[in-house]
Amino acid sequence: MEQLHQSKDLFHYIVHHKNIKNIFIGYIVGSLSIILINLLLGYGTEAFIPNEAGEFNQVARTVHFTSLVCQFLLAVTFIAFLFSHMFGSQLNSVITRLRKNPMAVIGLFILIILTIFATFADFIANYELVVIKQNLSNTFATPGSKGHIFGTDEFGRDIFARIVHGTRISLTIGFVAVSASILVGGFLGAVAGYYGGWLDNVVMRVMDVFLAIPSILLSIAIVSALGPSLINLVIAISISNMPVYARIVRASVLSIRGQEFIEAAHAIGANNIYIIVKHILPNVMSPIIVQGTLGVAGAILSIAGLSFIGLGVQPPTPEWGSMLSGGRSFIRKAPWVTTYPGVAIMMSILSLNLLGDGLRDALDPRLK
Amino acid sequence: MSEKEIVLEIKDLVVEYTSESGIVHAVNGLNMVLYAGDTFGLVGETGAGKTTTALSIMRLVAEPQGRIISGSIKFMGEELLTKSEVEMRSIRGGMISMIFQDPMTSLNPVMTIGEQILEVIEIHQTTLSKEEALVRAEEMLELVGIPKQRFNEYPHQFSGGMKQRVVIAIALACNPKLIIADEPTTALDVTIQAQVLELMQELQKELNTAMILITHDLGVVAQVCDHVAIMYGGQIVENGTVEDIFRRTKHPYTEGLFGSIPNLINNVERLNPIKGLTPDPTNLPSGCAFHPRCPYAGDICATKNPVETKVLGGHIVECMIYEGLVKGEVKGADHA
Repeated sequence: MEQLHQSKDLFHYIVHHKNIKNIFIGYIVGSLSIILINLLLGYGTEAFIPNEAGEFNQVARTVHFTSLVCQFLLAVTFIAFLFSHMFGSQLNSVITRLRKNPMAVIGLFILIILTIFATFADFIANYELVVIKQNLSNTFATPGSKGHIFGTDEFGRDIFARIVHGTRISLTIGFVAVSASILVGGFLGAVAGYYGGWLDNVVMRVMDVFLAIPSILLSIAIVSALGPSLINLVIAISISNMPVYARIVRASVLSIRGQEFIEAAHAIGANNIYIIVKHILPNVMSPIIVQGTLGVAGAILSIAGLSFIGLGVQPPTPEWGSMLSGGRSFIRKAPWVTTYPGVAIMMSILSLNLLGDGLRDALDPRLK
Repeated sequence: MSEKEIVLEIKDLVVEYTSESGIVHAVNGLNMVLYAGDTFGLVGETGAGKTTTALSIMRLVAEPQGRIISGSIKFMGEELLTKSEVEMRSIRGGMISMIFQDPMTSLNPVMTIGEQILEVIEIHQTTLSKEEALVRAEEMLELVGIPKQRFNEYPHQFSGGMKQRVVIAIALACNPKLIIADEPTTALDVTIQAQVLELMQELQKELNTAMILITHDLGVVAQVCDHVAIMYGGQIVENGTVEDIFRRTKHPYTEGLFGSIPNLINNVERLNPIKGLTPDPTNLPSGCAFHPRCPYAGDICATKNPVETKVLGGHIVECMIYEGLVKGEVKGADHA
């Protein structure tokens, strides 16, 4: 197939397309400056290495997490610029339609609160002293008791503080894993749908094999093979989510590919990579955004599930699923130990689902 | 007029599609010549191979189902069929551009019309700076009669006729030598049709571009074209100037086409269509493709392929009558 030998085209396209080049440079400069700010403020490594007292620098950790959020936002702007056609004029009408949907606004509101918690978790509760340090003199304090609005767990740790720090883990892994699976799965789906033929068959049959295995089982298999760690968790969830995005993107690409404006793009001398990036992907963004939002909810649930069975985030790191798991032996004696992490999981998933449904309606004017 | 530069010369073009029900003989040995600055009308029923001919010139016949089997397409003296894909890309949109049938679907709904005009300029005129390209795109928009304030609007904010103007602007943006307009007015209503045709003619004269106008509307042909070719069953059955075709009609099929247009003067109870159906291109009749429907057909028409016969000047007909093998007298449009 001739089209497959176009890696030179892709390189040529990235190097010579002004927009992409500028954004790419902007992204790298932005990331570097964030690291530089970290170093300038003197928090270069303090976020990761505790001092003599075994404490992390709270400010450093916040700066670090904020810089992560900024990098994420930069990445989003990078993509947004790439598809600026879609985010340009249509963004306003999408926001207007979204605002008319009260459930979606509630979802967005909860999500913003969770994000704020995640960003400023270190100011809300000290990680070393409150979140993971055991205080065996104060186990199973009831909710509302002094200093512990959600009570304490079997090791006397404040549940509210742990939930707040758990937000950080759940949201980060959720968004990172879904972004990764959208990138990889979307790319595979786009290529399969656009070129068709044997390539389509091979890629989609591999995806079908992935789909045939229940995603939680697949994640369990991957994590047990690679060993439980944050990175492996992300990898496992990305891989098990990937086929969904491959299918969605492929289906949308197939419907777009046959349209006359794609033929018109060929007729003005555009090459395949250009057509995929400029003409097809912006047209398939809506289903990806919707599925991605719902996918984050699914990913958060997967993390909690894996942590619950001990394959995810390891104690004492505060993670909602492992908190549930730790508290389940005491569910009769101290139900709050499991209730509040459960509520946190429920709220985050509810908010993302509400937002996802709202976005689905807002992005598809035909449903109105 | 024979001294004019030849822009496009097609010889014995054969294009086939492979489908589940067999091989579709879309174009069977098509010949045509197009001179600089001329408008060439390609007329025929649905399935006659007009669009396939156009796509062959652009080398955009959908592979792997469609294949150009044989023949030659010379554009400005250069053979297009042997060019590489990369060379073809620089020709598409730059030297030859295409206007599609339906302006509603030939513009990308999520890109502003300005970007879409800019796009073709950026692909082909790489020497221009971003600002120069922008100026050029705005000029093109003004040229087709759309104020440049609307540069950043989306296709859904335009009416059908306006969209077709945008498509024309895209087609003309790189000063092509040849424009292929595939039924450019079919999707538009009649008043807009007239405007768009007028605009295309005006710009064509201004930029001295050759144009192939694919249509099944004989009225449009009479208004716009210099040369006309009537296609039937993947072949050109009659080819000549507008005068030749309309006043000195030679081919029975052309006669049938004119005969089926209702007349303002004579009140008729029923329309007078050509009997029978367009032949199935997977299973073309033997001999002359038109013989099952032809009122003059003799026995020989079913067995022998007609050859090109020159009648007068550049007027070419493929029919047994002019080979002296069958008797018949074909009347022109005026007499029908």
